[in-house]
Amino acid sequence: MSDAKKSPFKKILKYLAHVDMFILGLIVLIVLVFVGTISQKTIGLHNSQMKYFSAWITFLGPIPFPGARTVLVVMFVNLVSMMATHRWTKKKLGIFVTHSGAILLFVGCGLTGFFSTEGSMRIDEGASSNFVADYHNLEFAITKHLTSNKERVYAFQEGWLKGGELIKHSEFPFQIKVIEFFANCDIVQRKTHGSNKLKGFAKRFQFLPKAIAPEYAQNRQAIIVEVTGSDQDGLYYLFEGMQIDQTLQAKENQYNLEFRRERRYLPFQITLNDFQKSDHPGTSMARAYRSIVELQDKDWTQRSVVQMNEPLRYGGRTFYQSSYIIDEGKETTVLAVVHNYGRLFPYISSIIMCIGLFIHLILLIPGLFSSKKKEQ
Amino acid sequence: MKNLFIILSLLFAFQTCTTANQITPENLILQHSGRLKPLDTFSKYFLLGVYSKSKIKGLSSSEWLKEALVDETTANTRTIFFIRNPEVIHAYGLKMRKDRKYSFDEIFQTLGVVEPKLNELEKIPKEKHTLTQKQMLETYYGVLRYYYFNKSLNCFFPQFELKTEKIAKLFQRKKGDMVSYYFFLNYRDQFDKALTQAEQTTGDEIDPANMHILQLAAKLGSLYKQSRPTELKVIPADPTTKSEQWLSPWEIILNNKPSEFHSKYLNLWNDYTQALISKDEAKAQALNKEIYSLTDIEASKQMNTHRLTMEVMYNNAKLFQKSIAFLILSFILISLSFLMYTEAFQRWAFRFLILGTALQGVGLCLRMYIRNRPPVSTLYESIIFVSFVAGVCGIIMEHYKRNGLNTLLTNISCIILLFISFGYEADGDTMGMLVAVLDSNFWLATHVVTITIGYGCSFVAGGVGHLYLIYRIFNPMDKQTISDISKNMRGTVLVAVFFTTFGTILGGIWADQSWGRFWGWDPKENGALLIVLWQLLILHAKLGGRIRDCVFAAGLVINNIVVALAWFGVNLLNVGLHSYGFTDSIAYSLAGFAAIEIIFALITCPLARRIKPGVQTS
Repeated sequence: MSDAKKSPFKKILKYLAHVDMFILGLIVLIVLVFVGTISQKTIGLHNSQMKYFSAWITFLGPIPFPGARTVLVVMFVNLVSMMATHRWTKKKLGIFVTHSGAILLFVGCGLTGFFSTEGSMRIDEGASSNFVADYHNLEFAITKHLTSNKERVYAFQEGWLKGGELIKHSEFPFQIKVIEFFANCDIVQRKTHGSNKLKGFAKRFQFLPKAIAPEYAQNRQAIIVEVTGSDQDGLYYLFEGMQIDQTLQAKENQYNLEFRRERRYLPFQITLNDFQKSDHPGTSMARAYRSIVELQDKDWTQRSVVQMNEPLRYGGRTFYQSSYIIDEGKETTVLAVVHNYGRLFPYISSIIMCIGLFIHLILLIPGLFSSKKKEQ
Repeated sequence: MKNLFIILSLLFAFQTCTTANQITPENLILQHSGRLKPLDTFSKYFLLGVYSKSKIKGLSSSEWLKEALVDETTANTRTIFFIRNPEVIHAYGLKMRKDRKYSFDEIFQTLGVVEPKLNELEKIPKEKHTLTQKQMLETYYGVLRYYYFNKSLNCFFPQFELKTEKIAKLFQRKKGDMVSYYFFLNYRDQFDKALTQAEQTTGDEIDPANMHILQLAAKLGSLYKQSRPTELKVIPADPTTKSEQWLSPWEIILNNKPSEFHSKYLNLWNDYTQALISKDEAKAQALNKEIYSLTDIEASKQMNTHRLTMEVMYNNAKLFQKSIAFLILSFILISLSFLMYTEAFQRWAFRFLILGTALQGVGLCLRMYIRNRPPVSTLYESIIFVSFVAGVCGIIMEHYKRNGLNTLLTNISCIILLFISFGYEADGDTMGMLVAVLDSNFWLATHVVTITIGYGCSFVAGGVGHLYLIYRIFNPMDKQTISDISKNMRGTVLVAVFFTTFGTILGGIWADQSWGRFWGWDPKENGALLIVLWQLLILHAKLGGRIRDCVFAAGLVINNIVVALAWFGVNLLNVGLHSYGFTDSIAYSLAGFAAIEIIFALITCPLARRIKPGVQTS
């Protein structure tokens, strides 16, 4: 079939499948990976990931540059088109299998990139938890105490927290204005008593803005909110990880104000029965640490051990032993919780690619290494 | 000729294996940095740390250790502190010497002047130290470590004279006898009683016996205050407690009353120390054996102690040093064969290459057995392993095409890599314990080995790239060989892509298993990805007909830089979860390496492109 007779669709497909597109994609990706890695030294891993790898478009200095997402999509389209248009022969079986595996890897990459969520779960020894705190997203939560053991939580996520937003809801009588948001700050004790408007923690402490640290975890995020229409109107200072609850009274109900990592609730809860840590003898280098947990679903209870390289998988989520806190004898485990629909793809695709390359090598190698000349 | 080679190899192997079979002080077991190891390894790395060599002229590391422990006076005058940086020597107020080696006594004298400055330095965060400041502190810590360490056994030194008859009688000894701190520990009740009595006596004239006991108490007290060396943990954990922690003699003495189990060891070490001090070789040897056999039983509850015996053998065999000697020999022979066109030299060069590589293989196997781990788990091992992989690849290629070129290439790569690895050896015990996340033999065996083979093959491919460019420029008429090298290039790249790609994916899977994410754009992951991307790029560009052999070869030369950056460079960034293998001061070497490779590619590639193989140029 000559080119002229080909349908426009096929023509486009052939154009999309061109090897130059793949080469260009690789070059762009190499630049991105290189720049993105070096920049981690200054802007930190999370920021670099957001700027170069999770972005559709980025900037190298003043020059706009495709982000890794764009490049990966282009390369994926290129790969699929190539698979569809190439004339496959028996000799190229290995290449075909390898590239099919690569396509699967891209699919998994997409699923993970767009749909997976991750966060952490902290459980004190003997206590239970049923929510996962996001690593990065924050929320402003108002907890209304209805009865002694019943409460309702209203959470407002990052869009509301930029500063100047007004938070209102028909179910509570007051309104809240976000006065200021700090991406990173220092907490400093006030030298003098501030105005009467300051409530709770704010009476004695204030926030001083600070440059954002490269490592995301080193930042302390905080907000200042103004409450009007309650019994205790005024300015409230809240920061992430605050231990003391800021409370206010309004129309016979008590409310808690909290600024915290965004929570995702699980349909089950996990109790930490025991946390164990052992060091290499005579050193403070951890040899192993593990959490003995009990998972309680509606009518299902399961005991498990979560430790390094041995996570617990349940309900589509995976719980990993990520870290621990030992403070004055109190042990707290930190589990990383991941919900990823694409997690099996790398496993499958790597097996397929492995088989593919293996076939290819076997078909090809004898020709590549020239054989020894027979001495006569 | 072949038979001669085999006989030589066997003789050599026999010599290596029989070097260590007796029970000597080096076999004694101690716990250090979280693992049980022979004293030999400990002393070797102690010396490597301060002296940058594992033995002193005329004295093996364990002989030196013995001296440092029981003969302070001689040991302190030995010049065992090697200070590389002249600025550090000046900062310490020491006289510049050709060999830059100083004794403890010399440094100790000047320490009073420099110590306040060092204490100031310690307050500054590590990242802000200049190289000189860092080395000043390193020297200081080395000296301090030595200072404490050589007091490890002084609790057994007979250093207190029983001056009065009354006191001597009290401890059932003769007047004038010298006794140790440990001796008094066994007579603690009597001593306490005498001391209380002495303290209670009032009056103008103090009885000489009481005076003596007060003096003894003061001396013992000062020894108690200054000596708390904990490094020589040679006494096994008491099996009645659940602890796995071994203790140093002082640690046991400073704790309350030693248990029966510990007392047995303290007595043995007491006798052993006395025998060493009095140079009673036969007694020392007998006690050495006794201590060894007892600790061996205790150690075997924690591990297979045959591994410790093998570790001593491994230390003595120095396989990697021997390997480099054979490789250098092979290099000389192959160079000569090119100059003189002698085939015999070429054959022997190839045999020595095989022998050198085999020694590395044996060394790696021994390490696997000793550590009970897959071959690669530290940066040091990765370098040796890459060298081994390069050696094997080179042998295979040379086997198929006996032209000596691959022998030459492999020799150069292996020699460079082994020399780099010796640099890492000085950093400390190369068989150290692993942090929790790495402690998985399955993943170390799969991901780490695969990716390291990938690094090795990539270097081989890079080497073939160099060879292609040079050969095409200098020997353009040899069309056949040029085409062979070109085929080799493609073959090695394919093998390299295979291993780096799967190594990287397996790494992702490991990360998914232990951290919950397949890919986190962490520097180490990105480094591996860069290698894969670069290799895919040159491979697709070549197969897609976008570049020809010369540019392809230059791409492989650049590939060496990518591999080196991913391997060593990412640790310089010190960010992310992978930053456990942190190394510094290699930035300059890396930059130098990259510059040389780039210049090489920029010069040779255009030159080679102008030449058409098989066509005579004017």
